[in-house]
Amino acid sequence: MSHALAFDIWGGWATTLAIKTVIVMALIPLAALILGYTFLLKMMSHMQSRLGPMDPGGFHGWFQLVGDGIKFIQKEDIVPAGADARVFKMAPAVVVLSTFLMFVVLPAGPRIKVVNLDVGIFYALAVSSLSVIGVLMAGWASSNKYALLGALRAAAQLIAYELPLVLAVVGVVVQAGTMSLQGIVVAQQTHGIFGWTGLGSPFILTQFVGFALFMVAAQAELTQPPFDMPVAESELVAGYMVEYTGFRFLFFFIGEFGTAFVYAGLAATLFLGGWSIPHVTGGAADVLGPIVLFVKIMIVAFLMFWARFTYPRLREDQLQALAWKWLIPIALINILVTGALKVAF
Amino acid sequence: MILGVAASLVAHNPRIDWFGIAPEGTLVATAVAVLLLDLVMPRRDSWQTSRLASVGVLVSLGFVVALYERHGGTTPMFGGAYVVDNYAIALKGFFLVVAYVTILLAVDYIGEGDYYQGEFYFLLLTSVLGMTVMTSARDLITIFVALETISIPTYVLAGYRKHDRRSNEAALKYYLIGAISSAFMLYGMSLIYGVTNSTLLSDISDKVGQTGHGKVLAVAIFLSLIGFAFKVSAVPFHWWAPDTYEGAPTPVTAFLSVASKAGGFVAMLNIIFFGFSNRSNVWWVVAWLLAILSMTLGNLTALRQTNIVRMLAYSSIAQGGFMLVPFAAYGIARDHGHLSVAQTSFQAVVIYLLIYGAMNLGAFGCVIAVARRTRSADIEGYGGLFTTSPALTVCLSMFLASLTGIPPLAGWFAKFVMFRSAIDAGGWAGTSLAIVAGVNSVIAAYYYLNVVRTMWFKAPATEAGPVQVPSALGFSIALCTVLVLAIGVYPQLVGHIGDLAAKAASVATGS
Amino acid sequence: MTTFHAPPLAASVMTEYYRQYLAVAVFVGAALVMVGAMLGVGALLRPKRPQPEKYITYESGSDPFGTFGQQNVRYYVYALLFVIFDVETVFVFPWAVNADHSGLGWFGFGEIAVFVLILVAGLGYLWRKGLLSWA
Repeated sequence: MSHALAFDIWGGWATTLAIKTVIVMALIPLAALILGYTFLLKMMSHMQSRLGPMDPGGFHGWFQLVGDGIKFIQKEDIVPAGADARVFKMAPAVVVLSTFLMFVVLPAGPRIKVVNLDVGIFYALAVSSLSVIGVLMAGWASSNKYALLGALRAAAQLIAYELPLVLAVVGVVVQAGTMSLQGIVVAQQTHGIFGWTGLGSPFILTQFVGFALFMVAAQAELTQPPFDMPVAESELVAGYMVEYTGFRFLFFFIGEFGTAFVYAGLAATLFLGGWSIPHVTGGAADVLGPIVLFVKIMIVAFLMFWARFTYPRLREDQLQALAWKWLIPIALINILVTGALKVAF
Repeated sequence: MILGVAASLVAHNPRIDWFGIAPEGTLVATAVAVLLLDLVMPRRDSWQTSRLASVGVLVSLGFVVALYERHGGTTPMFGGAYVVDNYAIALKGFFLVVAYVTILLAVDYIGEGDYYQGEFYFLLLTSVLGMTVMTSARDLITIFVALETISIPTYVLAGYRKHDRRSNEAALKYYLIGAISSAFMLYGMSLIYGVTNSTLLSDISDKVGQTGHGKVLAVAIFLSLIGFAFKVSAVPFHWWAPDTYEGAPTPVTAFLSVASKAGGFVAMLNIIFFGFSNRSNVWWVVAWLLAILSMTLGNLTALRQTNIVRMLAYSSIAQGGFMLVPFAAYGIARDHGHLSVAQTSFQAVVIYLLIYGAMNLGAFGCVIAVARRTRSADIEGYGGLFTTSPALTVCLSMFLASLTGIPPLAGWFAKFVMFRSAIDAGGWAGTSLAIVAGVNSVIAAYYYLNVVRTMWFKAPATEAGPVQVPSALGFSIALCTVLVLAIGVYPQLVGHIGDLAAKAASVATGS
Repeated sequence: MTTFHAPPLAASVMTEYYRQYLAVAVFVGAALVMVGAMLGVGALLRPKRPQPEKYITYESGSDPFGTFGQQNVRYYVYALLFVIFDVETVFVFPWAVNADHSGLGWFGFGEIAVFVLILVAGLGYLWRKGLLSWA
């Protein structure tokens, strides 16, 4: 094996990749659990005075999540009689696959990364839209009116907000001059604010519009309130997930919260400087980087879930109008302004 | 900062001849302006968009004339993928005139029916933009993009009478055929790129001239030609044309049968003369077969038509066959080593296109005028037209006689240069082409002149007043009449353009 | 509108390139393995007591009726819009990477500005024609 890759400390390239794969396989459910526990169970309970999740096990309801897990395990695996069984069973896997593939390009340190693709952010946004296919498969194969309606709403929403999401990122790419996420982090680390390098130069300062667009669009991509028309409990029960039970339902849950984690990670990387700490490089950055990134992810996730627990649901037409009439034009203007400034200075 | 801007313009500006692409730029700006103007106009004023469109076309034409006056010679851009030489300028002018006449033909037709007006002119201008780009395209990708820019708007235009089932059928057939032909063409082009490692026609020409890759190149060239054969509706890839032409709104049919077809022929000229010259042994047989089949079958089927639009559709297939003759002649001559035929055959295609455009547009103009009264396109309905509308009858008779090839109308010169190229090519193949073309000219005379006979000598089918010809339509018919007469009497008008084009082309092919 | 000459790449660059995407492929496998493993473990633990009622389509407790085929055609319009705009965004990224002064400069900015403005004109057209409203 050649030593082309910098991340070679455990010997061969294949071994390294195998270890990374195992870590990410453990990380994704863990990430979903952390977000679910911290925000869905605890933060929401505090904000909305929910007593149930605060009770099990005594202290702050710590046993709630374990109990949920046991519940999922002992649920029967049901495929409805009218369902297209193969597609029905594959759909959750496609959603999880999309989450998995997004993790590939997220760097946590100079060498703490899976791969550093040249087209990093472009790739991440591309594979994120794979989940649309999973959602449509689930909604169609369930043979259920709620499910199909939810899936179509989800598809229309995901594709409508895909555009502002992608366009919001263009401003960052223009500033950094690269699509590689590692390159974007380094660009933020090495530049300063008017010569002062104490904080690096996180792109949120210059790309605040992009950051806001990205957060709104990511919220819609995650079908979280106020953009939860596709799974609106009071209208569609659970939308495309209505016929799923047990582990297959859990996969949608992991997909949703794992993807929320990645989106928070992308936002942190693109706009908040990612793993970088100014003037810290080499081995120290590899140790501190993941911690810094995790803190930033939790801050971004806090914002996401704060909005989720605060705002009421938008109507379907308001939802589409927001994307097409506001976010996309603003994103296009942002691109042009950023480009002009980039060329001028 | 301003200095910085200027410096960066100097430093990073690719060599672009802005004047050279001014006609295209004008078309783009006009198309967008037409679309936006239509949005802010009240519905009853939306005919105004036709004015803007025609002004845009005329300004663009002005730039083309100015470019011709510039005498700058060839101007390669984008690494030779885009060339504004005299050949390109001549055909740009042709396409813009055709666009102008089409707007004149359409303005009353579209204005009086219940159509979206702004979109009509937008689509028309976009298609014309593709044609002007095509004339300059010397690169496979540019050719393909131009061809799609020509085609996609016309799919919509063909279905513009959206409450009419036949128009829907027309659009769908045209669209499916367009997709299939693009697939053939792209497959051929991808093989060519695979073999030659370039999309630039001049590079391809060099690589194709070297030996090797015989079978792959044969397949590649064959597939590309089939793609173009669909586009120019050459037999046996023609069967979509009559239905599409009949179902589409008549001004669109005029545009399809002249401009869109010419766009396909220009693409063929570019790719065959600039790209595949050195493998003429592969393609001359294909061109020869297509030419003979198109002439013969197009004419024989046209004989049996009772609807004048269908008759003109089949006749345009046959005319396409005549236009394919110089291609085949060039291939034959090259195979025999007569390089001088390259000039005459190239010239023949260009001249034929120009003249065909004038006479066919004129004929369609008359058909549109007559259909305003009779609401149909049956040849029977033309009975006694002379007694009610003598001027229109004279014009239509002239166009049909010109399509037949009777001197002193322009058609004879088109036929003459076509025959000359076939005879110059020589050999059994060239001679047989000339003979078949001759026989077909006689067959064509029968059905063209049959319409003339109906108009002059038959009794009117119904008691009807004279045809009211709106001024725009009348002007376009008059324009075509003048052109057909002037070119027929003084063929050097187009002969000169053909010369210029062929000279420019010979620079490019190096033959 | 440019010509393509495939530049020769060093073998090591290509190996690196393929390895990166091989990693992506490995992750596809890993995701499927994880899903399979979890379902396999679940199959050992969960009960299976089939009753016909469990397999009826869920419609909030009442008996299901009719089929589920008809859906609103509006979604189709949004899908078309998406295809148009998403393909166009793909063209923005290559410019974005090279946008700066030493790259494409003002010329590139002018190109992308024309491109985006034509895009905006299209969006304005759709807006004005009411395609963006849930009529």
